[in-house]
Amino acid sequence: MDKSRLRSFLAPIASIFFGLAVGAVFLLITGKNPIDTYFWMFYGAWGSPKFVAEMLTRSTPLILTGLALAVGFKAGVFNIGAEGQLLFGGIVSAYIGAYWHLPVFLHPVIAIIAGSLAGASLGFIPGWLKVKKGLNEVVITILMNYLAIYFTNYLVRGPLKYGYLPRTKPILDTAKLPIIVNGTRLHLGFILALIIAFVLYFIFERTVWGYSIKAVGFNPHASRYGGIDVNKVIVFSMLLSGGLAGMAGSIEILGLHHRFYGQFSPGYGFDGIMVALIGRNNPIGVVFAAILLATIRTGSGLVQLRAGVSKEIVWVIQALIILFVAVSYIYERFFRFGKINLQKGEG
Amino acid sequence: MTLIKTTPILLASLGGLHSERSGVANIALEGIMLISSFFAVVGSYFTGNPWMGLLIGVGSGALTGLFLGFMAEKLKGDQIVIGVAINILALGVTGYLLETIFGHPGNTPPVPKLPEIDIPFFDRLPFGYVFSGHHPLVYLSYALVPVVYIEIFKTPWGLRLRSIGEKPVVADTLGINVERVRLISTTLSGVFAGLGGVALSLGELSLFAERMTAGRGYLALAALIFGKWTPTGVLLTTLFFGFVDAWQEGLQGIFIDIPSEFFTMFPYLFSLIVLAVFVGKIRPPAAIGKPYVKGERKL
Repeated sequence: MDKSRLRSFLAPIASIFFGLAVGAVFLLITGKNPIDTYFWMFYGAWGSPKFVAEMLTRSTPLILTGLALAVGFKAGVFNIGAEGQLLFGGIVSAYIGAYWHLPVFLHPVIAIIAGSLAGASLGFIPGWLKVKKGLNEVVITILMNYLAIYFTNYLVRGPLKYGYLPRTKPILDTAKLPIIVNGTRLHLGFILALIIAFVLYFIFERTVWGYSIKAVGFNPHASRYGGIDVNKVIVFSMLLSGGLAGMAGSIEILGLHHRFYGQFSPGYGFDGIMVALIGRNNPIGVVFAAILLATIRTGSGLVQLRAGVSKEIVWVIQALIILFVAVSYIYERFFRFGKINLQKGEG
Repeated sequence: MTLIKTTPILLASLGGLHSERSGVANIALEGIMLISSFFAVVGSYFTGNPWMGLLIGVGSGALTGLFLGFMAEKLKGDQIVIGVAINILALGVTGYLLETIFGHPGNTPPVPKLPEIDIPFFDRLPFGYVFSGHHPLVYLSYALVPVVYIEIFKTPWGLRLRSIGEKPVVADTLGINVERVRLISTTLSGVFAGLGGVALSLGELSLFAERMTAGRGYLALAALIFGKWTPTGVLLTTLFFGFVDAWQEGLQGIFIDIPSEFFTMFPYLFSLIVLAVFVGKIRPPAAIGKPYVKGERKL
């Protein structure tokens, strides 16, 4: 393992460590016991096979939205719109799952593909506007998030409402993703998410497409001189990013909730930002980062119950880890500068 | 109603204008507003004086802005990542302290709020209520538009700030302390966004509720870009948002059998269409998002 690889492996671990350490100080200041808190947090996620299954269930949407953001970051675009794309993918899949009649195996496949396409089409708009009009994708995707949130909420309160509560008709049994560990909620979606992560890893490491996405993210001007159609790559990566976010919503509906309702996503699209940053935009790193966040969150239930600490501590710890990730990027950049300057000095 | 509802977004947007004009991207506006709205309520709760609340709220906003500047300029971190972290931190800290201080999640008990002020002559005019009887930050926010305009475009300080946002290397060569100007500008952006947060919790309401900013900071960011980073542009855009919002609320009242979300969508839909169709190519400050490293060669 060469030095830069080792660093890119160690830096996130150090960030997590420092994040937890400062979190402990924060807990002490507010008069709580950090050791108790962290013990129950860990126990609540890893203390029994059932806890682990629950934790992995929760990591599934995080893996996919993390991948969505990572693809964007690699190409140098910031897709804050993953939340809206996820909701869109979710509602499309919920509709197909409930109203279309398809054979067992085909039903979820069609629903997932349609959900991903719905997300991708939502990702296409900001990508296209960025390329054609130079509009910043951050603002466009933020606006589109609100659109998607209100539009899907309108659908479940209006045309797609089923029963008294604002939610859609439950999906048919043929559309459900099977449970893979009996007695838990862990469904096939987790395995799918892992497969997608490995496929993306392969694409980025071994294919021309993956290489050109990375090149554009690294230096769009040089890529243009190098003969890469930068605009095409940007639009494509927004399509891919939106598609992954849509798939996250789709799998969450087909595997876990089995119907669409407004609050089924507690902000997984935004969580994808954190997951991608901690996982350093590496698809395999994203899987580990998603499991880390899922651990902190799944464990927070016991933290509240046993250690008497507000669940909200989860957000403080997450933010601290991100801050240290930001700082770790900085240190690496200085390392790199040092090297370049040295070489230039000698040459 | 439009005038009051516009105030928090207008203030935050004017804040974002300071930091972005100096070259520091500020997606932390949302988090700064949230932190200030919380600490303003805490201040008002413990002192019983809303003005102390205002002071504490704005102070916490200023500190958060300074923190952004410190991380971005002193440590040369990625401004977007830091902004994201601040927004998450704001959610966590306010939610956690809310539960720890007040004993339950959700929202705080009501606290003393800022008084409503009548403008002597206006309150007697027909429609005078549009301009009179608001909390002081409403008047302040509109008064600040020309002030910020003069500050940014007519003073040496404003010229320095803008030059750093465009070509920091040149500014540095001319002896301007890039880091210091950016630290001041991000702190100022915290003060303005902080005022916006306080306007929400101690002006419009008299309590803090979890996630009460509900995306206003992001709207302020959108207004800043629509408004092409000018105070007048920002004012017109936020008023436009406000009018569309008031209009859709009116529609909600007329078409009661259509779910309200259908109309709530309108301000965002309109903004998107206006951006995509009518607004020409938008050019942000040239150096935005890039920390300035002395002696680093970059064109």
